[in-house]
Amino acid sequence: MANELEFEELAPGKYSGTVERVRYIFTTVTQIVITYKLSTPTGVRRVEEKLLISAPPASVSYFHTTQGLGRVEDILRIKGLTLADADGLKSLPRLLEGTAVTALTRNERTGGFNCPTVIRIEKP
Amino acid sequence: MTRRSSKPYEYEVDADPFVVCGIDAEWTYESAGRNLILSYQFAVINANSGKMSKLIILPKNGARIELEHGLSRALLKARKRKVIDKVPNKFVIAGHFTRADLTTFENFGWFKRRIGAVRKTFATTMMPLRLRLAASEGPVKCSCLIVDTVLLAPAGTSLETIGKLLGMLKIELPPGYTKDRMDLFLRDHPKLFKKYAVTDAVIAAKWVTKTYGLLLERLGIGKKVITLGGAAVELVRRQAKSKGIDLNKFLGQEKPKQSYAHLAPLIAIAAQAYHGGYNIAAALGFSPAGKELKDLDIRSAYSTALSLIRVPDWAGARHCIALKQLAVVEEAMTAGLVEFRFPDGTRFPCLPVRASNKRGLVYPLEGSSWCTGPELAVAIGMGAIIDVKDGYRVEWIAGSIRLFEDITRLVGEIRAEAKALDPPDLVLDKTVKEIGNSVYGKIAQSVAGMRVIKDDVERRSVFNTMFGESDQLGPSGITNAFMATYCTGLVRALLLEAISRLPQGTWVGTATTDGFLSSCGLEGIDQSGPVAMAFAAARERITPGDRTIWETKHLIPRALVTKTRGTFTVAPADWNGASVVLAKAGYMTPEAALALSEIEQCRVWIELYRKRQFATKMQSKSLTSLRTQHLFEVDLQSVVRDVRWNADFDLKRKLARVRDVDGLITAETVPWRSIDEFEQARDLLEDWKRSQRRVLKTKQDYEDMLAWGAAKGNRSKTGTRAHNKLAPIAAAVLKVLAHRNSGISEWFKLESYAQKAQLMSAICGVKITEMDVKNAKRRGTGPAELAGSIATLTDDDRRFLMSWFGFYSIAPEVCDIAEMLCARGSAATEELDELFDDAANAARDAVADESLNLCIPQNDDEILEQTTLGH
Repeated sequence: MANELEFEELAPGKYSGTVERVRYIFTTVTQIVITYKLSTPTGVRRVEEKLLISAPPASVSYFHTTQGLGRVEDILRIKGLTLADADGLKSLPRLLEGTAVTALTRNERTGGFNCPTVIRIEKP
Repeated sequence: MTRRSSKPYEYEVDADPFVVCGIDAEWTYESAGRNLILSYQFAVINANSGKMSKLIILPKNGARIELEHGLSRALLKARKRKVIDKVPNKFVIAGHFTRADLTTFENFGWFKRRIGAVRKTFATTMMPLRLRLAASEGPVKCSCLIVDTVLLAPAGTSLETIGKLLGMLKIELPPGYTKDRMDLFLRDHPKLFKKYAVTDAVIAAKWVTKTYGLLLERLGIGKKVITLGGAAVELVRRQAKSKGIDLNKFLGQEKPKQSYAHLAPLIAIAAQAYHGGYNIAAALGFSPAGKELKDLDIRSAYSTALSLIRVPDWAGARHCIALKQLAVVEEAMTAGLVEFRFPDGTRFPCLPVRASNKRGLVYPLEGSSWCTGPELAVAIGMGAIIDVKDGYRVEWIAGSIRLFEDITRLVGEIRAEAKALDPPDLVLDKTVKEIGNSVYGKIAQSVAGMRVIKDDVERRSVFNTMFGESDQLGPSGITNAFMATYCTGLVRALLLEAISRLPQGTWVGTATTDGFLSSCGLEGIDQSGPVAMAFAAARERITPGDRTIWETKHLIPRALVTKTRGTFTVAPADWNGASVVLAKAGYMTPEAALALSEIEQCRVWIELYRKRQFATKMQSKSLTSLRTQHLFEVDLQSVVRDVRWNADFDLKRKLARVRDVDGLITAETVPWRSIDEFEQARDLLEDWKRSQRRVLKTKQDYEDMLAWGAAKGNRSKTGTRAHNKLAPIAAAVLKVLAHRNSGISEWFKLESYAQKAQLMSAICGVKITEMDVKNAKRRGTGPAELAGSIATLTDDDRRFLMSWFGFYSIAPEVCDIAEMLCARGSAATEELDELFDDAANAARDAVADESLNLCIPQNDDEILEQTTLGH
């Protein structure tokens, strides 16, 4: 029973890996969900982040789209591309998926657990 | 299970499965407002796969956990058990009476304003609760819908019953353990405790999963409603859409909750004419011996009444004061304000008049009533003279469909199918039945609050968790004052039409909304009245080939009726009837009798009723209120209070032929002449009970109450109270004497207070002190205002006057004083001569016996001695 409830923490640090999957959540705003597949000393770990990428310019969420756009730009930069090279949201999954990255992670206290969170994406 | 209106967009994240997380907690009392948490239980069900995982968390030393922590751990386990693939972005949190469980989490204060309050429990009413849950991939923002199974099950259904309906038996506590000492159970049987505790979470989760599944599959309701009433609204919307009806137009509104402007004055009339059901005790005490009683009920009363509604022609809705146009049953929806008078001798007048002080509806012989068309039709049939003051008439669109009839039929069909299954699908049956019954409730929601002339009917309020204050309950999505008024009026009219047409000599005990208890069986019900005919036709449309309106609910040998909704079955010890009538008028069965059978409970209640006194109290168990829990963040605890047991007859009808049967007051009833007559009688009853600290238990009590009431006017004019040692006329005489400086004869020198006190002591037989005389002079009205203050005489007054007139031979002025005090032409004045003669005869007899020695007593012993002689 105790084993089942053991939460797999990830020590803060730099981990190399790839962008495994890019998906969207469409509501009145659009969020991008990026899944990283990271190699860690304990094995392969997946870390997911959900960031705003598009929102109506008049909405309060518009400001937060910089987070999603910034992250996408970081990953594209690794491949030598810019946001201008992307042809809308539809092209992003194809451009981002498979990109080798180095993820800097930290822990965020959530629900009493230390949850891994990506804070920066760098060149491998 | 999850429904989408269209296929997913390209690169959209995969839809979450329908996940329900049942929650529950066990605790024991720690201190006032604080419980010691023993365990938290979670049950995660993936409705798509049917898989489930359970988790029980036993906090150390009662340390509380955060809601997110508990859910994160439950979902973590569910992932490891392959119940879910990932933490869902949306899921349902289910609990049975969530108010008890959510408040046990450490961070209740943080999320308390983000959940709504519905019917004294917590559930999501507006925005879903946003939580950040832990997952190995990182924090997940989730939208959680909080659902309470109390709201998704028929009213009053316990978790145990829900479990039974699901085929899950709730684990019984071993002998010697109780729910309020679960800590002992955990200490002694930890394994059984875990099994017991987690079952509640599983039941809650399974019920929600099954209910939402049924709503979607059988009724096409995909919306995650939080109450079955909400499902009823959705059902009406869906049915209207399928029949090509614009629901707004059907309900007479421009847009949701905004009616057509021209209907505003008519809505005012409709709201005034909207009343509850016909609830009355038509007899008091024991029913006649040897007459078997039948409790008859109208079959699906409100659903059938709704089914008479067609599509209203709102454009043609108009004011109407023609009685013939108003007194219709199914031609149109009508209501109005009328002045009426029923013929003398009418046993059951049918036009309602609202009494004051939350005393409910009274049906007098004459007065002014806000009533509906069907009630007017019945009243005309009874020979009432009616003068219409105002009213409205809303016609149906010719050839239009009956929307609610389709719904009622659909509900009936689904129920029949559910029952025909092997084994019967009881969840479906009960759920659909409740939804069908909720349609009327939703139509009538907050109609009472639309009244322009405000009355004392309490508006239903809801607690606003966001601002921590109470709000008035607003209209539902299908609220309609006209339809609500029409339905309630129709059911009242049907009930009264049936009761008024019962064969002569039928004993009628009680009537409650859609049924009545009487000595008449189904065969004695006359169904030839206009309302019954319309109703029978509606029944036949719903259940083709079956026009039956009435059904027998209970069959009992005898009953004891105490008041409205207070009826107990009286049966011999060897009686083994199928069901009993046990209506407790809102009081809880004493704990010692809870384990008894219903008929045994009736016997306990009758014995309690027999022994009751004014100060008799009943236990009332209540829980910490939602408001207190929310504002002060305290845990749910039960509060036991003693409340005075008010089992006295409510006098909604006038008592007649009052007698004692088996030592208890028993009477028939007749209607009051007017509402004022009722109010006076009820005021008298309440004043008498309170001041005399007595209850209406025997015929003697009733007579004492009437006598007390008769003297009430005298008391108020003479400034005396019921508990004063002097009767009103004695007090008045004392006042007169107190203000006099001269004696009333040469025998009686009243120059000092002491002399006056001595004289009155001698006459009244109680000790009157100098201070009493001084007070009589100082306080209250003077002798001038006392003239004509006595209208009727009580026994105490008569006793006093007998003594007072005994002084006539030596002080003739006593007659003048008595005449001056009694009102001219009153019953009291008429009695004076007779009393004077009696007093004179008594004095003669006394003189003849030479046993009466009249003189002014000098000390207390002499007063007592003379008093004994005088009487």
